[in-house]
Amino acid sequence: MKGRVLVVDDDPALAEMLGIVLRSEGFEPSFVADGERAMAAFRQSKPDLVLLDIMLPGKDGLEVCRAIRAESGVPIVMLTARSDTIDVVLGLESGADDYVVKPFKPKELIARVRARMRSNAEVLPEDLRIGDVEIDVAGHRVVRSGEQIALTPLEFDLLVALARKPRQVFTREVLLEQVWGYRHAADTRLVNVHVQRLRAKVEVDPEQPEVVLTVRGVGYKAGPP
Amino acid sequence: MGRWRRSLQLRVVASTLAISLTVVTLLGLFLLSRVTQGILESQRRSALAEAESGLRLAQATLATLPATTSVDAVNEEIARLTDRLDNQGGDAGTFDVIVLSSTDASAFISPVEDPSRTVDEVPSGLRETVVGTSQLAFAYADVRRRGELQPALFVGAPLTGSLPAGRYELYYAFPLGSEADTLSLVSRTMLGGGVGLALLVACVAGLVARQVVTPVRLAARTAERFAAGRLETRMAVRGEDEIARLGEAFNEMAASLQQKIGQLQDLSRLQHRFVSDVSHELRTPLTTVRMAADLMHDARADFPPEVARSAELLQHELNRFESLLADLLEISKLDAGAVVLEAEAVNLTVLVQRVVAALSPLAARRGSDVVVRVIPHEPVVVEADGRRIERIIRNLLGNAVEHGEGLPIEITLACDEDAVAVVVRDHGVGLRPGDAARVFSRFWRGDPSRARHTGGTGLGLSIAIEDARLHGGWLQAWGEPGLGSAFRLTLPRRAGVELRHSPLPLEQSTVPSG
Repeated sequence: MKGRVLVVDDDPALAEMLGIVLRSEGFEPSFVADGERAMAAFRQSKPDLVLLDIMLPGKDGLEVCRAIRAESGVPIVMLTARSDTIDVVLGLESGADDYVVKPFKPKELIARVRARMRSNAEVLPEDLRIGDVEIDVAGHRVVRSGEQIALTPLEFDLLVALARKPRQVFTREVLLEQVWGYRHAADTRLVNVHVQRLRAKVEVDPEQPEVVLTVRGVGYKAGPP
Repeated sequence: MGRWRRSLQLRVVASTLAISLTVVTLLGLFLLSRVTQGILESQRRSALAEAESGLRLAQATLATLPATTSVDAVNEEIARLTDRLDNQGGDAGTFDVIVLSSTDASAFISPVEDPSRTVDEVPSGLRETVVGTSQLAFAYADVRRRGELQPALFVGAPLTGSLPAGRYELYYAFPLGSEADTLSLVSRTMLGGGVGLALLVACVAGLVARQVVTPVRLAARTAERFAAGRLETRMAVRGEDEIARLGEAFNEMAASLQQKIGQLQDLSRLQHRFVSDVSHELRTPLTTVRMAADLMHDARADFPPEVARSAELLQHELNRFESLLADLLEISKLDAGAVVLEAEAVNLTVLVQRVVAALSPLAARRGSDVVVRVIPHEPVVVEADGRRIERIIRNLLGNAVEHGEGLPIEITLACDEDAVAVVVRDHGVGLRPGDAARVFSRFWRGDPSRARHTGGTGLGLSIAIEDARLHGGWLQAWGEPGLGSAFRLTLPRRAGVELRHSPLPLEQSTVPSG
C-alpha cells in the first residue's frame, strides 16, 4: 500500500529532494514550507503520514505536531538536526511517532516511513482485553467501560503488542523491533515516551498504571486481563 | 592532636596560660623570699635586743652573788632569774629562756620543771660559737612546743663572771610559729592569686582569640562554600576593622570571580549554541546532498564509467564528511563542557565482545586475528556511559586494525575492587619515541606517508581521551617502532571515585598467542 505523505519543511532543496525520493518509492508527496499554513495543508491533503521538520519558520514544528495530534492520529515522523535528549524527547512528547536525524540516508527515511504506514494494513478480526480495557484489533477500536478511547495507530500497535502476550515481559528493544520496526538497537526513549502517552489515555490513574505495567530494570508488560 | 593543629584559639589560650603561669611563679617566688627575709630580719633584730637586755640583767644579778655561794644556790638563783626573764616578754613576743652549764655539757640548769626539754634543744653549732667566741650569736632551728615541731630563732651568749659552779650559757628560744603561719598564709594567698591571675589571663586571651578567630572561621566557611560552587556566597561585613577589611576584600574577590565565571559560562553556552546552530544549518543541505548522492550511487550502473566512479567517490567522501562533522560536534560539545555523564551499570565483557564482533570482519580483511582475554572469570561490570565506552573501545580496536600490519591483536580485560582496565595491544608499526603523548592530539597523523585504509577523522583518540576523562578515567598509550603499540583504558568501577592505579600494566611483553 502506497500512500500520501505531507512534507512540512522550509528548505526548498531538501523538500524537493524528499519529493524525488518519496515519489521514486511510489508515495504521493505534497508540500508545505511554513508552520502557519501547515494545518490548512494537512486538512486539505489528508495525508497518510506527515514528515515534519522540527525547525520551521512561523510556527514551531513542535506546535504543528501538537496541532495535528489534536485532530488526528496520523503517523508523524519528525526530521531533526539535533539528537540531543531534550529536542528528541520534546518532539516525541508533542506527539511524533518516530524521528530521523539529519543527515539521513534515503533508505533509512523510507524504512521509517514504511514502518509507520504498515500499521495501517489489514488484520484479522481479533478481540483482546487488559483489565477493563477491550481492544477490537480489526476495527482499530479501544473501549474502556463502554467509552471509546482515541489512540494513534502507534499507541494502538503498542497496546496490541502487549495485550497479545499477557504474561510476557517486553524489553524496550523488543518493543522497538515489533512496534517501530527497528532491526537493531535504537533509541529506547521512543518506547518510554510513548508508554507515557498511552498510559495518559488508557489508565484510570496514570500514576498507578494497571494496564501497562513497568517491570523494573526489564521493560513493560500488560496488566492482568 | 588534630584539634591542637586545627584550633588557633586553643593554641593561643594554651600558650598564654603557660607564659602567665611561668611569670606568676617567678614573681611569686621572688616576692615570697623578700617577705620572708623582711619578717625574719625584724624578728631577729627585736630578738637580739631582748636577748641583750636579758643578758645584761643576768650578768648584773650574778655579779651581786658573793664568790663563795654554793653551786646549788647559784643554780637556784639562775632558776629564779630564768623565770623572771621568761615572764618579761616584750616586742619579740613569747620566748623561752634556757641556761646551760658550760662545764657540764649535758647538764640542763634551767628551767627544770619541764622534763620533756633537753639540752639537745639548743643547736650544737650555736653552742660551739657561743663558747668559742664568748659573744652574742644566733641560729635558726626547730623546737618542739606542745608536741609540735616549729621553727625558732635561738640567741645565745655566755654568762661571764667567776662563779664556783663554773661557766654558764644563756639562751633565748623565740618560736617563729606565728611568723611561719603568716608566711604560709602569704604564700598560699600568692599561689591562689597567681593561679587565679593566670587563669584570668588565659580566659582573656581566649576571649580575644575568639573575637578574632570567629570571623576568621566564618570567612573560612564562606570560602569553602564559595569553592564548592555556590558563587553567590558573601561574607557579612560589620564595622571597619581588619576583619571587616578581610570581608570586603573577600567579597570583592568573590564578586569578580563570579562575574568571570559567569562570563565564561555565557561564552561556553554561546559557543555550544553556535556550534549547535551551525550543525543544524550544515545538516539540512548535507541531507539534501546525501540523498542526491545516494540516488546517484544507486543508479550508477546506468552512467558512463567516469560518472559512475564519481558517484562512488562522492558517496564515500560524504560518509567521511559526515563522520568528521559528527566528531567535530562531539569535540565541541566536550570542549563546551556541555556533556553530562549518564552512568549506569555496564557489562564491559559483553561490550568488548560486541565491539570485537563488529570489527572482526574488517580485521579479518586486513589479516589480523583479534583475541579477547578476560582475566577475571566473572563479568566485569563498571558504572559508566556504555555508549561512550563502546566508542572508545571501537576507536582503539579500529586503530589497532589500521596500524596492526595484519598481525594478531589482543584485548585484555581486568578488574580489581576499585578499577577496571582494557588494554588493546597490536604488533604493528608501533609508535616513535614521544608519540605516545602526541597520539591524543587533534588531527595528529602518525606517519603522513602511510596509506590510510579505514579513513579515520583524526579526532577519534581526542574524543576517546575526553570520554575517558569524563568518566574520571585514564587513556594511555605505549609503543615501540616495529614492536607495536598498546592503549590502556582505565575506569573507576563507581562513577566519581578517584583513580589511583590500573589493574593492568600498560606495557605488555606477552608474545602473540595463536
